[in-house]
Amino acid sequence: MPANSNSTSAPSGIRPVLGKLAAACSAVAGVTVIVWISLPRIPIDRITTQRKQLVQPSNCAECHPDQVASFKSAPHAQTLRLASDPSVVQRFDGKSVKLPDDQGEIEFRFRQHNLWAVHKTPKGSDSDHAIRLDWAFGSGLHAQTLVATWRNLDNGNDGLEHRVSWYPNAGLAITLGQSGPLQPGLTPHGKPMNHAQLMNCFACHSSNLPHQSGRLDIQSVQPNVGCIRCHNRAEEHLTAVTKISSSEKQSGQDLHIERWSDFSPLESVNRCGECHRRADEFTAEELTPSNKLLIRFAPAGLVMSRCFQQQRPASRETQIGVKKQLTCLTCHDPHQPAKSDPEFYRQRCVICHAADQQHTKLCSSQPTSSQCVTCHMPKIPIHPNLSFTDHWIRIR
Amino acid sequence: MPQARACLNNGRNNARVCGVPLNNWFGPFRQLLFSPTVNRRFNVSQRCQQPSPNSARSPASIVLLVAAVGCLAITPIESDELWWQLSRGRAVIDGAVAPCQELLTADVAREADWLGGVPFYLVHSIADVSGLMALKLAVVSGFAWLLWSRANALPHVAALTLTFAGLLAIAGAGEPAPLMFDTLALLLVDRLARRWLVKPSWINALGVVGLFLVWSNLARLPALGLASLAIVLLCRDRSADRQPTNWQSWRLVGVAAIASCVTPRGWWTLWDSLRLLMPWIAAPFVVVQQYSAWQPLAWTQWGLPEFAFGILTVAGVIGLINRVVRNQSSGRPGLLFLLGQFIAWTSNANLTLGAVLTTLALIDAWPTRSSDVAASFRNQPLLWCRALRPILFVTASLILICRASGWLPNCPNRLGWGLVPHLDPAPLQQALQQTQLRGTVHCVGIRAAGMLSWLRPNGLTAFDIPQRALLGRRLPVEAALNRDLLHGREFSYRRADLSDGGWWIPLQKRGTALLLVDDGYAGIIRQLCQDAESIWRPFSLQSSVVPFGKAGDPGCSHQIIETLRFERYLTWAAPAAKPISNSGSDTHWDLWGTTTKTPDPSASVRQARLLNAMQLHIPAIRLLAPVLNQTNSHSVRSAFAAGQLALAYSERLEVGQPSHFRSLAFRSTADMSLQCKVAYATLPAEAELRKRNPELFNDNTRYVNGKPPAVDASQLPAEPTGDPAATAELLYARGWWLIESGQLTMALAVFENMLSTYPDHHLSRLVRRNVQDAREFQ
Repeated sequence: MPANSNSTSAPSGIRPVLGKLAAACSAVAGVTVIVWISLPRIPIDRITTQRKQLVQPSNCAECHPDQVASFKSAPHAQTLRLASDPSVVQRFDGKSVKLPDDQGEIEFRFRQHNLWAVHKTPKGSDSDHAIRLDWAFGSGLHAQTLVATWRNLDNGNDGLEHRVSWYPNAGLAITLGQSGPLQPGLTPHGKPMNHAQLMNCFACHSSNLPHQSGRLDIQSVQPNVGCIRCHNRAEEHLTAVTKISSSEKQSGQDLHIERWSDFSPLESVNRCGECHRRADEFTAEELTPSNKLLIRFAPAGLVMSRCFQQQRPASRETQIGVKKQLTCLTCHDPHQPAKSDPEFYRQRCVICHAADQQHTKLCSSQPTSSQCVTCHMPKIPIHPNLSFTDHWIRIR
Repeated sequence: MPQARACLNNGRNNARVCGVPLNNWFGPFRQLLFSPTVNRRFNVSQRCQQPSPNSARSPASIVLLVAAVGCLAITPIESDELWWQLSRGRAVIDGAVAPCQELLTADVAREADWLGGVPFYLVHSIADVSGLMALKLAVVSGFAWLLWSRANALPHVAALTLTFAGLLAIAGAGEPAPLMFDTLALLLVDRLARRWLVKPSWINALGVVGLFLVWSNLARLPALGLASLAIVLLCRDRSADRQPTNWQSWRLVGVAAIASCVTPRGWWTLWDSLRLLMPWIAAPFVVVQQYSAWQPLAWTQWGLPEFAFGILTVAGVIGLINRVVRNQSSGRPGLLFLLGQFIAWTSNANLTLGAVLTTLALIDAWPTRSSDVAASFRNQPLLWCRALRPILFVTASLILICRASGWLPNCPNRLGWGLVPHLDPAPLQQALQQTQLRGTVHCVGIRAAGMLSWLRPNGLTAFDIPQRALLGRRLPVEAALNRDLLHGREFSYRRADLSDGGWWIPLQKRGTALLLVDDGYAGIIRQLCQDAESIWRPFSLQSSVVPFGKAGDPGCSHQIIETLRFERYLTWAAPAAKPISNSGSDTHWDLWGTTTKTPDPSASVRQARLLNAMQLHIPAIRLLAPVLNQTNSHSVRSAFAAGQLALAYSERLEVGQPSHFRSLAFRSTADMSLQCKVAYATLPAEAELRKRNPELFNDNTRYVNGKPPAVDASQLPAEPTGDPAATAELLYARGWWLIESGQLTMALAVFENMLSTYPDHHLSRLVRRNVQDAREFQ
C-alpha cells in the first residue's frame, strides 16, 4: 500500500495548515476544559471537606439568638476540647491511676503547655513511657476521654484512645472497653487507632475537620457538634437569607435549609443515629433486648420499641408544642441539656398514652400520674462508673 | 570533501578481513548499516549501493522485528480481565445473549460486545493456557506485520523505528481481552479505508462495513474506529485521479455506523462505546480517576509502553512540524495524531489505541523514501547518519533484553509461558470450596469478579464490575462504597453531596456475604485487616484475590479461624521460607529464569507486599530473606524495609521507642522515599546505631543480605556485660533472627535469657508478650 499520497505540496503556503492545526487543537482543548469544569465534585465526607465559607455560630445567632444562646450550655456544644484546656487540665493534672493486673501506673502531668501521661512500670524502671495528649473527647456528662494524635507513616494521622478517662462520679478510672489484661493491639497507654478510626471519632465530636495533604488540619478544626453539623446546607441557607428580604422570608420562600420537622420519624432518628448509631447498623442477632451493647446506642433501642414502630403518621401539634410523633426530638431538644425531671418525660408519654387516645393502651400496673421512665426506660449501668438510659421502651 | 568520504566508504566496502569481504561480516545487518539512503547522501557509486525497491524488508530488519515480537509476546499472560472474559465466553456458549446479566447481580442491560469472550473461551477450551499464549503470539505478530507493511514506503531507519516503537507501545494489546480486537480492528480500518480510497468498489466498502459489524459485537470501541474512518476518508488527498466524492465517503461512514449498531445493545452501542472511550463523560472525573485504568496517562506509573508512546508523541510533533514547514498537507495525520493523543492522555486504558493512531499519523506524516528522503537528509551531518542505524539496532536490542529479563521498571513480567502467578485461581478455589456462603459478592477489581465468575461457587454471584457500573450509571455508588471501605467508614455519615455514606448499610441491603479484593488494592486490604473490630476477616493468605468473610458467619467461620491459626503459625513457628518459584507450576514457565538461572523475585515481592498489607510483617520478612540472599533487587529491599518499618512503628507505639534491630534493618535497606516516612517511628540514624551497638551493626549487615547471623546458645551472655542496654538490644535482635529463621525453641531460650537478665528493659515488655504467644507453638 503506497503511503505517498499525502506528500503533495499545498499551494497556499504554511498559514492555512497552521490555522487548521491551531483550530483543531483549540477545539479539543476547549471541549476538554468545558467538560472538566462541568464535572460535579467528588461526594466525600461533608465533615472533612475544606469549605471556603464555613458558617459560624455567630452567623446563626443573627436570626436565631435564643437557640444559639441556649446551645452554649448543651452537651453537644462541649464534645471536643483541647487537652490543654484548663477545664481538662484541672481534671487530670497531678493525678494517677493504678492499672489492673500489676501493669503499673499512669500519671498525668501538665508540662510546657501540654498534658502528658506517663506510664510507670511497677518497679519504676527505665521503661517509663510518656505520651503527649492532644484532645479531650466527651462533654463530661457521662465521661471525658483523652486522645493523643501524631503523624503516621503514610503522612496521615494516627492516634490513641487513652486508657484512663474522667467520670463525673468517680474521677479518673479505666476507659470503657479497656479494662482487663492487655490484649494484643493494646498498649499500656490505651488503644491505638489508625487514621480512619481516629477520623471516625473526630467526625462525631466536631463540626468541620478539614484535611491538608491527607492529614488533619489542626488549626482549622471546628470542635463540638455545632449548628452546621446537624443543619445541612447551612451555607446555602445563609446565602439565601442574606439575599432575600424579611417580607419574602415570611411568605414561605425556599430558604435552602433542611427542616427536621419535615423528616419522617425514622429519618429523624437515623439522623441522630449517624453518631449515636442506627438500628440498621446492627445484625438481627444483635438487636435483642438482652444485648447490653444496645443500651449505649439510644436510637437503635428507640427504633426497636413498639411505641416507635406502631406510631401513626404525625399529626397536629399538641398543647405542649410538640408533634404527636415519637422521635429523639420528642423528648430531647439538642440545643439544650437533657432534662432530668421525670415529670417532663411523663408528659411526653401521656401525649399518646392518655385516656382519650383510642389507639394506645393505658398502663395496667400504675396510674398515669406515675413516672413512666422508671419502669419502661430505666438507667442501666454498663460500666462501674457509667449508666445509660435504655431507650428500648418496653414492659419489663 | 563528500567525494573523499565516498571514496573512503567505497574503500571500506571493498575491504576484506580474513579473506572475506567486510560487508559479508555484517551478514543480515548489512542492509541496515549501509542503506541506500546513506549511500546516496555520500554519492557512493552504483556498484556499492545495491539498491532495491523492497529493501525495507531487509533481513536485519526482519530479524529485529521477529526478536521484538518474541520478547514482547512470549511473556506470561497478565491481563486482569482474563477470567472475566473466559467466564463471559462460557456464558455465551451456554446460551446467554447477555452474559453480564448472568454473571452480575446488578447488571440489567445487554452488552454490545457480547461475543468478546467467546474466542478466548474456545481457544482455552481447546488448548488451555498454551492456546491463549499461541493466540497472543499470533496477534502480536499480526500487529508487527500490519505496522511494518504500512510503514514500508518510508526510509529504512524511519520505518524500522516507527514499527519498533509502535510495537513496544501496543504489544500489551496481545493479552486475551477485548482490547486485542479493538487494536486489530483499528489497524484494519486504516488499511481497508485506504484500499477503498484507491479503489472505491462495493467489495472494498463491504469489507469496511463487515469489519465494523464484527468489531462492535466483539469489542468495546467501534466509535473510535468510526472517528478514524471519517478522518481517513474525509481528509484525503484530493489530487489523485480516481477519488470517491465526499458524499460517497459520508455514506460509507454512515453505513459503518449502522453496522456497528447491529448488536444486542442496538442503537446504544455507539453511545456505550463513546462512554468507555471517554469514561469521564459518563461519571464525574473524580470518580473515574479512582480506577487506575481510567486515570490520565500523566498520573500513572510509566513503563515501557508509556515511554514508547512518549517517543512516538515527540516524533509525531517533529514530523508534523516538518510537514508544515515544507508546506505539505497535514490534515489527516494531524487529526489522527490529535485524536490519538487526546484519548491516550485522558485515559490510561486508551494508551494502546492512542499509540496505534499516533503511529499511523506518523507514518502518514513522515517523508516517503521515493520522493522526500533526499530532501530530508540533505542537511544532516555525516556522523549522525552513519551512527543512526547501529545506535538504533543496539538500543532496540538492549530494550528487548531488558524487557525479556524483567529489568525494566513497572514491567516485571519476563520471558515465559503461561499465566503470571497472581492470575492462578487455584488458591481462591481452595479457599472457597470449603465455605457454604449464600449471597452477593462485592468484588474490588475485575480480577476478583473474573475469578469468582470462573470458579462459579454455589450460591455466590459477583455484584458489579467497574465497566458495567460505568455504563449502568452505578459507578459513583461503587466508587463511593470502595472509598468507604478504604477509609474505614463503616457507619452512616453525610457525604459532601448529602448522600448517605458508610459501607455497612449498602452491603447489608445487597446481601453481601463475601468481599473479594484484588491484591492491587492494598489500601483496602490494609484497612480491613488493621481494624481488629471489623466484621470482615480474611480466610486465605495464598490467594492473590483476598476473600473476606463475615466474622460469625457459620458459612465461613471455620475458614476464618483456621486462617487466624495459620497467621500465628506463619509468624512464630514456620520454618525458614524458600523463594516462591515461578517455574514448574502448571500455569507458568519462567523461560528467562530457566535459561539464565536467575531467580525471579516478582512473585515473592508481590506476596510479601500482600502480607504486609494484611499486617503479617514477620511472615513477609521471612519470605523475603532468602530472596535477599539471591538478589539485590530494589523491589525486594523496599518490601523488606516496609515490613521492618511497620514493626519498628509498632514497637514505638507499644514501648515508646523502636528497637535498634528494626531501626538498623530499616535504615540499611530503605531507599530515600521510605527513609522519609519515619515521622512518628523516629528511628535513630544508622551512624548513631553503629556507634552505640557495633556488634549488632555487624550482624545486621549479614541479616539484611538474607543471611541470618548464626546464634549459638553458648555465646549468649549470661551476665550483663558492657553496656546493658546494648546487650539487651542484641539479645532482642538475636531472638528475632532465630524466629525468622525458624528456630523457635532457641529463640525462646534467648528471650528468656533476656527477661531474666534485663527484666526492666523496655523491650522486655514486648518480649514477655512474644514469649507468651510463641509458647503455643513450641
